[in-house]
Amino acid sequence: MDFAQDIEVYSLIAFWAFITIALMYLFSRTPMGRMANAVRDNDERTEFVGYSQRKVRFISFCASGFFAGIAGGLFAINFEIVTEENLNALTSGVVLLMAYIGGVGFFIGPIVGAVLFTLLQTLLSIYTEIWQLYVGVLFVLTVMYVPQGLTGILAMHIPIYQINRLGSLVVPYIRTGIPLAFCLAGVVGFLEMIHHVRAASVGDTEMSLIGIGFDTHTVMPWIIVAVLVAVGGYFTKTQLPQLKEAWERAHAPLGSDEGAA
Amino acid sequence: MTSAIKLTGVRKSFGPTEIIRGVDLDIRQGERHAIIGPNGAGKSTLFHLVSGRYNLSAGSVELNGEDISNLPPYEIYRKGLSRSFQVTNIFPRMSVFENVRCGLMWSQEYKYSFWHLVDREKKLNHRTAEVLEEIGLTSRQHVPAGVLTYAEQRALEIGIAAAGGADVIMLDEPTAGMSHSETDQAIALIRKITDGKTLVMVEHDMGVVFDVADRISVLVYGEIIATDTPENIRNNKAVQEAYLGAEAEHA
Repeated sequence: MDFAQDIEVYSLIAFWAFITIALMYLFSRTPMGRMANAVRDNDERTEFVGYSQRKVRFISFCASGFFAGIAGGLFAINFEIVTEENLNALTSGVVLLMAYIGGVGFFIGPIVGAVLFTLLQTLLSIYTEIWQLYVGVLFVLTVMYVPQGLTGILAMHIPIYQINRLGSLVVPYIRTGIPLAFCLAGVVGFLEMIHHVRAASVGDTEMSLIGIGFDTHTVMPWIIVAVLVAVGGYFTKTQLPQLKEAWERAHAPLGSDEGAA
Repeated sequence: MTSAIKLTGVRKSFGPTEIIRGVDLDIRQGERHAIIGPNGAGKSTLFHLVSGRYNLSAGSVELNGEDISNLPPYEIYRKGLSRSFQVTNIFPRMSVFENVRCGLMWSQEYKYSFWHLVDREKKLNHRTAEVLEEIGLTSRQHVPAGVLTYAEQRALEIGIAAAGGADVIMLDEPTAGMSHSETDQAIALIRKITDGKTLVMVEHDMGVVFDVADRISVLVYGEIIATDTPENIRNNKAVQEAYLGAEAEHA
């Protein structure tokens, strides 16, 4: 193979991606991997069960370097160019961003984050010039409200699923989700219009969103997004207590099976 | 017979303040030794000095005849001294089972291995299950340690300390903040898990101290004013004045 065909490159990368993911998972199940988690949880205590936290960190760092090296090699084969840009702080920051959005506490978290980020980057950037703003806001919201990341949100539903109560959350989710979607649509519309007004050339006042063309220098579009935000926001807020209640009901213990508590 | 732990002229200062002011202490192998003293006497500091969390300002510490002064905690642990903490110090996001297993791995010679898979190590997991049984947390083994009740976390704390089979075990206020029934359970657990080993404990509950200890040392303002059997300590005038006061007369 000379890697001239896309499919060859793809196969090679996919093969190594799966191999390294498997290796990483296995690494996390070794004594060393468990102690890496222990150091994350409580670095001081590891010293009192016989492990030097410095050495655990050192070995973890070497292991991550090993996997990053493989990724770098595959990157070079894929893009056939490696520049300073691939090593700078921005690239490193993006990797962290992916990990946090996906969820750092879970093995698949960073994978989910990377897939989502790449999707946003490639798809969202077709539709809007300010996609980085949305990704940034998503990151800030994740860190502020769900530090466990998106995988964490999914994981929170597993115990509910196990006791067959997931169904009780569907209606509250829909009832909160619909007004929330309207509210977000309003916010997005507002941001896009602001961006258009600021970035478009002089005299260009025509823009279109989801296929609807309009003039940003008229009042109507602004009123529409304001109404979307206000009404969507108001109804979201009225639904939140019900959602919270449903969530707590779903989490309530079954009878008295809380264990030895 | 060599001492399990021998402190000679141990001093510790934080800036200009001297907390431990020349402690000589000899703890025999196989005994249950309690260190008591008023708040701020330096009991926990003494523990930190022996277990390697703090460096000594002066003096020396020996473990089974070997000098361990100023070694890092993990070296001291590997030489056979394990300890628990006054403020619960566990791995909160890992399961109870994994907490105990982390306390066992070094003693089972796994070291920094990344070529064993922990779930397939039968002996390791079997021993973990045994420790869990001993500390009474078998039914809670899959729960993250951070959500255990306080008493359960204290039991886990002792379990992690004792799991590795160290022959000297130091417990820092193992029954602090427990109810009476929880304290009774904790004492039974301590007896069971330190059987045949050397136990050093700091404890505020005098009932526990006089019940468990073979010998007691009284630490007041960084100095040991007496080391003796519980009876002699109870009748020691200096101790009564300095610490026990009326409590000893009622006892």
